[in-house]
Amino acid sequence: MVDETEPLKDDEAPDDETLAAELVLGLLDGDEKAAALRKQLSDPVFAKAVDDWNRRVDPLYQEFQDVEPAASVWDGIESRLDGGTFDGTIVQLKRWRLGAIVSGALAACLALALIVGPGPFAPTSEPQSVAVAQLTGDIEGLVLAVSYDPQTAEMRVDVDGMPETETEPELWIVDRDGVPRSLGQIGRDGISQMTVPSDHRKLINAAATLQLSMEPPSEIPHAKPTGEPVATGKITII
Amino acid sequence: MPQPSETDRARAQLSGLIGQAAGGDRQAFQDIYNLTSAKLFGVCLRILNDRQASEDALQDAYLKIWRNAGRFDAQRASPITWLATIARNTAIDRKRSGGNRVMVSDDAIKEMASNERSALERLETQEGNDILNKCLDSLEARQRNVIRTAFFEGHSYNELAQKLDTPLGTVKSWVRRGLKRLKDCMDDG
Repeated sequence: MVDETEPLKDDEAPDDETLAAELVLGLLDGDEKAAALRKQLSDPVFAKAVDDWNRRVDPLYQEFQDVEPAASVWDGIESRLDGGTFDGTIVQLKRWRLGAIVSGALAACLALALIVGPGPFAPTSEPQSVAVAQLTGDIEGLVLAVSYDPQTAEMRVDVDGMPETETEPELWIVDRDGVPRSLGQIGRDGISQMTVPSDHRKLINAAATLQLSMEPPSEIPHAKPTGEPVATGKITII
Repeated sequence: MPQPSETDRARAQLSGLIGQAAGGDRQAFQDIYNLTSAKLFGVCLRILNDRQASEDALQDAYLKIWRNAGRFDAQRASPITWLATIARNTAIDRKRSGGNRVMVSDDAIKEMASNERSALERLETQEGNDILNKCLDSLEARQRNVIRTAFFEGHSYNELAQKLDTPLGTVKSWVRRGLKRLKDCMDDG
């Protein structure tokens, strides 16, 4: 029988199950929290333990009392929504301009879009120029900039700020049906380029979301993600 | 108390709205806000204890919800819990980044006790919570209180130790032993 009164040493490391609970409750801060978030990314068993703890404490949320916020809060959200979307596009464009090759490609895409415009048979809801997306998530500093040219079906992905993991980043497209379809694994850092498989091209539209998940290394795309996406972003058609 | 069918319907409606927001539907997003902002504001206010800071956190939380709506998976979490978790984590991040203004108070233990549920709240609690609450009740009082306080006020270990004026190692042992028992109890179902 463990002595229940004996305090632990401050620096005693918890087992993974306890660490998962501590992460869920918000007991960790600083480096400990960052390390646990990285572990959630790289270790599917630990990620599942985190999910399980989220489920265990779920009923506690019912105990929070409702309090009406001031009406001005929604106005603030709405204005930041507009500003955010606009700024996001600008940030993406700036990022793409950073690299000469990328900048050239985007300029070419935009120029092409201006000259060609929508194809005569293209329904108006189809992508008409170039699709961009910026993917972010809970991992501080992780940003993916994605650009897709529907004329060539070429997708470029620029990865920045990926932490060390044993898993590999895999990109997914999620359309209205909510089903993630893999676009394959991409490089951990810098620019990856790929040709989008023909049956996935129609999914790249303004209603779709791109997601990045961490998966076991594989030459072929996985059928479905094993864990929570680590970064997501809506597609914007420009 | 809502009938289960009503709860299910509300849940399905909210899940549907989140799916629409993931597709860029602003009106669906505003509907989500109208349905859930009082709950999420209550979460922020409990953790931050300051109206202005809570309103700022609430704005940040809904912007995260808008950006991450595509990540919601109805198989893994109820929609309201998914939303409330984002609000809670956003409020906690804001509290931590705003400097640790944790007051050491003689009333800390009394406040901790106020995190106990009232008899009325117990009655109102839905059936699905029985296991969690039965298992929380089976813990030693200080283990249960420190876990509930951590959850409802979003305190880190260091903040709890300050607040309770108790050595960090002692607080950790209360929490960790409580968590182990809680898991064993809940897994036994």
